[in-house]
Amino acid sequence: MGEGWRLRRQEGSQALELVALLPLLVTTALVLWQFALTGYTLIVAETAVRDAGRAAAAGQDPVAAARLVAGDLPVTVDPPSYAGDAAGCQVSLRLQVEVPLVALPFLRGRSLSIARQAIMPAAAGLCP
Amino acid sequence: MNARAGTVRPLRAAGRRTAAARRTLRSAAGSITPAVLGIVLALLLVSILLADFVAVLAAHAAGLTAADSAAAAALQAWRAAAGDASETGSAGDGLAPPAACAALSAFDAAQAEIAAAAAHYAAANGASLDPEHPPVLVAGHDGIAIRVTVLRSLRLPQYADRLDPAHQRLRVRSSAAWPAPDWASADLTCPDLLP
Repeated sequence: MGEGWRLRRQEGSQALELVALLPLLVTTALVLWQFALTGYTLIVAETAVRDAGRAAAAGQDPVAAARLVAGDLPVTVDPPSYAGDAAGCQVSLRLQVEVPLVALPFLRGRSLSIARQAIMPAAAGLCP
Repeated sequence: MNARAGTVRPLRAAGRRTAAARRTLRSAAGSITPAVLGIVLALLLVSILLADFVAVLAAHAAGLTAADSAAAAALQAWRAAAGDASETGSAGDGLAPPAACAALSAFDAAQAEIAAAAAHYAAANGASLDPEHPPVLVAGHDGIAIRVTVLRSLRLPQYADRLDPAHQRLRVRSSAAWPAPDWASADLTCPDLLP
């Protein structure tokens, strides 16, 4: 008994702990990865709407500009709307970028997208 | 007798091993709970910090869009003040492009109009002009550019005691620069007008 018995009592307890914690650790790592993917998509969406807005303001194709930034991420660009007032001509543009989802059980069958809008001054000739 | 002893001994040994395994399980079960709690709390903290980091990053990215739009508006306002009605700034179907020094003087004279135009587009994109950094002309290797700085605020209640007590908001500063037309960059013989 004594020290030797106590040591024998704890044999394998660390392995057991690891086995019990493994699902939790893997799930948490996937959730953190999902956070990172969402953050990345947020930045891509913001950059895409900026570039698409600049393209639309210059009378160029905003969809091509947005797709160039978004790369493989699915992006949907609404048609730009041009409006003129006392301040001049301006273009408003909105787009949506789909966030890639990690294979987590509670995310199965769901979709998440990030929408962003930009309003830019446009060349006077573009306004109706 | 010997045969009976040969059967009983392994059974007793197996019984001892089972009892030891039970003790190990009980011991392990007792130590898992604090470990799980510690890890869950640590991961919760990491998740909160990560969410805040993403929120600040997103605010900065949105601020960049606002700054970009405001800089474009400031450039338009400057060109209008300088008397350049052309679309490209170099060859126009309206007024003739102004000389560089005259254009730089026009920038100084029309500061209020330029700031108003920039503020309009900054607000349209959810930000405000930074009062400490009004639109300015900056000279670089590639010529002159107009730079606008905007502020975008976001609420982070968990840091309320560390934020500006009047607003309880974190203010994120972003700036963007738009290159001036060729007529402003071609002649730099009037550097006194540049900061």
